[in-house]
Amino acid sequence: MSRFREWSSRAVNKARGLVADRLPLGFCDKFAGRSLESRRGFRFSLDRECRVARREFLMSLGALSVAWPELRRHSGYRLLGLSRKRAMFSRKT
Amino acid sequence: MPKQETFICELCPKACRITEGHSGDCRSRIVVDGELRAVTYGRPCAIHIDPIEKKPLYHFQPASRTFSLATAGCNLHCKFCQNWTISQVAPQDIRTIRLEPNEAVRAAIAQQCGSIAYTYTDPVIYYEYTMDTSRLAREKGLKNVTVTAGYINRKPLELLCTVTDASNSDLKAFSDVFYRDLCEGSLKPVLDGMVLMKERGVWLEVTNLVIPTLNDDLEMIRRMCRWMLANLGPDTPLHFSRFYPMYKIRNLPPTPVEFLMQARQEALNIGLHYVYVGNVLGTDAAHTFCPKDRTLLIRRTGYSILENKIRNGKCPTCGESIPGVWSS
Repeated sequence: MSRFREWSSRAVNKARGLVADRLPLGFCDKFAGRSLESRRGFRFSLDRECRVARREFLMSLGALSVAWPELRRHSGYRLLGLSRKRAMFSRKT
Repeated sequence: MPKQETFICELCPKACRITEGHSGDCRSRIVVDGELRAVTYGRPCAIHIDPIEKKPLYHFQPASRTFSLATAGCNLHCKFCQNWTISQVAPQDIRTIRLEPNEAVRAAIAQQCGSIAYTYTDPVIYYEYTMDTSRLAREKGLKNVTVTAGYINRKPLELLCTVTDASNSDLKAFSDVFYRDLCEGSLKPVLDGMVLMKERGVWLEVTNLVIPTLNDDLEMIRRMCRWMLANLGPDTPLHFSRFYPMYKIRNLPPTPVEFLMQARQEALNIGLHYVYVGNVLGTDAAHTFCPKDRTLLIRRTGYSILENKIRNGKCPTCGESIPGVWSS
């Protein structure tokens, strides 16, 4: 398997579980009919009609994968206007 | 490079492992400066004054007003969420206001509310805010109501029960596969939580949102009702709620009213005393009847009460005790 295919396969797997929730609604709606037929929730169907959407999605995912860690490191950015109340029920490893 | 500390959040069964700058699955608990923080504390994104019947709680202070609040995020990700615009977003991506617990209690009293409802998203993810506000509310004579999916660990729930007067818990389906595939959760903690709330004396009502083709299986509904009868007792009200296309499930139709009526009849046949149909206007299935002599006790339309014949918690005709919290 080429490095690109390996990477894209990983990305799609990740998308199945995690990123699907964060996608624009229109994108998910496109897949809704097919996936619900199988009553398995939302899964990506990579047939011919979806290839363009898939490519666009992977490109945006690639861009995000670069941007996210940078953004997340700046926790101050994430907490603008939010509370710093200490959470209950947690432990450090 | 110093070793990065990892936090394990023990609030809900997901047990998220969170490192600096990252959030848990609920998006509302973030590690900042070496500490896990509840970032939505005192930052509600929704505040309303609702009739208590909207929660729905039909056996708890009927016709009273409840000061309802929510913060952004949720620890479940139901594809059919009816409040997804606030539950499936990160707290930093939505407009919030500052409302500290004491201010919330003051506002609830000023608005003549009998209770404060922690609702719309899920009080589990704004646990600290719920706890602090509930304690203050109790001191001022207000009741506390949670509307929750009940996806929480035992220990935090035990503590939450000490300040909660009533709860409407979602039982999304009596199927672990459903919880896993459509909600990103699991069934057992939800069931355990309901039993615990009942044991701790929290007034409990259960809501089941019936979605065509996904959980409208009569056999599954029968199993759910039998479980309720055995573990929560016949007097725990059950609400079958009508689904409307929402969020990521917009390709399914609203639940047929006939099916909701059929499910209600099954639940009554199994032995539950108080079974209602919600999200449907103008139906007799929203009224409360005496389980002994079938006298009409509370007549409802929408969220309004047209008539309440219950006197001192009893049926005026046969004297049967009707479970619930009937006075403030």
